[in-house]
Amino acid sequence: MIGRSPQLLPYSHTGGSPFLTACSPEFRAELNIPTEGEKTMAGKIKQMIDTLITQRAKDNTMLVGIIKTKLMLKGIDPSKFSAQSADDPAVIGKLEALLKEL
Amino acid sequence: MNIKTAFSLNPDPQKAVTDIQTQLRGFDPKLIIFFASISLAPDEIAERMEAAFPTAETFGCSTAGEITTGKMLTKSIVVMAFNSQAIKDSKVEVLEDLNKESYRAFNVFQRHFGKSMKEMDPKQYVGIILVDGLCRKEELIMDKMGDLTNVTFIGGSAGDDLKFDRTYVFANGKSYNHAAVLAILEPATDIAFVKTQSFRELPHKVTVTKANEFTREVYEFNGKPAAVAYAEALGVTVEEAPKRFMHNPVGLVFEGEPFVRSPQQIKGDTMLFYCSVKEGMELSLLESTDIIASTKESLDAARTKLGSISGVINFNCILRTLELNQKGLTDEYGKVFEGVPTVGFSTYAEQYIGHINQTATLLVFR
Repeated sequence: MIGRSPQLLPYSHTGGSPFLTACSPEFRAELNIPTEGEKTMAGKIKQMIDTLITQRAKDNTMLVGIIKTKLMLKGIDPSKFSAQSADDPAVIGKLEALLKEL
Repeated sequence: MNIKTAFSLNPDPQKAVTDIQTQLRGFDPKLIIFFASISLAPDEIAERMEAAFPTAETFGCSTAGEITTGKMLTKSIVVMAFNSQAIKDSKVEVLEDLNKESYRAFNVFQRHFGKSMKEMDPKQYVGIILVDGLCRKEELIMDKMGDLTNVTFIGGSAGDDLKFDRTYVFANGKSYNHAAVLAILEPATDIAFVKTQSFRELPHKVTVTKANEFTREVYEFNGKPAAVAYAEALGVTVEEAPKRFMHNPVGLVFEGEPFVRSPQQIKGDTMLFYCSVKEGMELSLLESTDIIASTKESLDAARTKLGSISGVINFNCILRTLELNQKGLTDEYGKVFEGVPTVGFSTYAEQYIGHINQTATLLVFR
């Protein structure tokens, strides 16, 4: 590590950093800064599914299975999504609608 | 005895209902569910049942065959009555237009029970749904209700003795087409849900690559014409494939539990199902097993879980009934429910969490 704090790095008014853009992938990884490609946020679907299950089921463990079954019947298989899964806008749209019901 | 059953084979609705009244004499029902053959005039049977039991809410539907304690019947009316020791509270409501939202019915339930459907504890309440078996709206209704409440709904699609002309649901003295009856019950005893389908999963899977979920048509599996892909998975020709529908449907399998999707017919290369199939779904090929043995096993498991059974409502797919008929096993199936107060019917499809085929969904009361 170079020894510089990320807060000291210059940012433009558009929120991006020309300095960071010019940085090597290794340096960005050290600072735990996502690459341009990573900013599409893989794993959002799993996050949303976990939130839906936690909010709907609360303390009721029987409900966890039922909520997962409902998702399967909607065409969303919870077991197929991980923190690394690419985000599918159609699936995200369905989950957003469900989360609104909460 | 807090749950009592009755049945009549009298072809005259007035005499049939009088027969039922006689069998239930001395019992004070709070809620009555009944299933009646289409041969009994629907308007009349609904009206007479309501008039015969003025202290109870009555609801039910038309059938493709009836089930009562120890028997499978046809051209009959079968009835289950609950007193206030079996059901603490209940409310029956009709969705009169299946093209519209279900919010109105849920508002009625909210006013009756004093809490919203979202707040209702699924351990305290259970829902029963009976829906027009020809409407092809069951998936939409179950999907929407599943979004709005955690209360589990179980039920069946009304039949009409395989005429596929007009089915009926009944509530509080009236009969309805293109409608659904929803009932929310607060049982006074423990309940269990049973979903039993007599199939094993085969290794072959097909992915739905093109489909119309609203018309229940699948155009392609695995990027191939659906009929061709299904036939290939079975190792038969497309011409032979329809003969395998009953024994080899497909299923959405989740944690080892199949939710069966039964093929209905092949039109060109397209397969029409009795159930909606969505693009992207991975379906497993299934193979039928022993209906009697698997139903008995499921009922025994429910009995072990609850400790005892005081009543069963059985929504049993007509495809299972047809298979039992073919094999001469309807008496034996009826005997699975001997000694257990049972009411049920042969359905055009079943509901438990979602919409399914070739399954028996049972609501079991301790």
